[in-house]
Amino acid sequence: MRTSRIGRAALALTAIAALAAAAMTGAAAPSSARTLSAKPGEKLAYSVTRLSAPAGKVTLRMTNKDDIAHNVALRGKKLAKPHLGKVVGAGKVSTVAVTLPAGTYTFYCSVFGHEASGMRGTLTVTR
Amino acid sequence: MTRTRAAAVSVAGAAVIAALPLAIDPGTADSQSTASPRAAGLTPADLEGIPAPDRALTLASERWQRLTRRPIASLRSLGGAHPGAKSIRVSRTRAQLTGRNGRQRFPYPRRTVVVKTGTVGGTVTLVAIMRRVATGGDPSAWRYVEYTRGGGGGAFTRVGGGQSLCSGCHVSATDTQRSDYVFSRLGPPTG
Repeated sequence: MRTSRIGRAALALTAIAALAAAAMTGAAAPSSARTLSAKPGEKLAYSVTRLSAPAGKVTLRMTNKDDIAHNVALRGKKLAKPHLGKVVGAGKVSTVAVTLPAGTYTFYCSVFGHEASGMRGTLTVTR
Repeated sequence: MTRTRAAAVSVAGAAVIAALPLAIDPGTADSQSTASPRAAGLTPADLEGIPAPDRALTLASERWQRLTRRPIASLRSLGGAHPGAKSIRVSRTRAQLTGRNGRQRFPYPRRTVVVKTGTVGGTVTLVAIMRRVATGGDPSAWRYVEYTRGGGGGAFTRVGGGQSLCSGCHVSATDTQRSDYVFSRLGPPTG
């Protein structure tokens, strides 16, 4: 009888924990990663000019396949300030991770003159 | 009478000052346009000796906004500096550089890049790059680098002298022209 009560209590606790975990998972903002690369050959261009992701935490990972230094950065009207990934050399990865509401953003290389030369694109974040 | 003379002197002085920019800034004067250096079509081979980051920037700058409508002649007032017929580009759009009245605004935004190429006899012999690294009017807000080579081609070499050599002259673009250390101004829109 006593064992049975303990068993029922344990089951109840397990169920509550499972429900709580499910609720937390459902409430958390989705997280998504998108990849791009800097084209080789000093072209000052990314491999893509358009990206999309659901609202929530968005991570952009830019692999530098060029011989000169680049990074990935992100700006938009819904961002108080630009978010800059580290400027990296050949073969390295520059990352920027930001929690974003739905909207349109610009990803770009913040190295002098590179955005003007074409290293930019549009990130569309949907609900 | 004295007042009249003073006013006349003042007007004459103003006229001289107003004329100064034209004397050292032929960038907007079509009559001083010369030659027809290759306006586009640079290849990496044309820029041998220039470090990769600046070479890439120079090649890409051919897609940027022209600062002057046409390539411009050598500047007499600069003596031997910046030889050849120049093409000057800026890493900003016309809209970013002008106000509602269509006139160019100064200073240039931080992180602006200006690239000048000089051509002699069909060969690019000069690449000069200005980068606005900070806001404000201090000469150190702009960084300069220049590469030259002979008219026969060969590899470019970086011009020595450093920051002071360039800013020592470019400061007059601010003092005289109020054009933020850049001698040439944005030309009128084409078409």
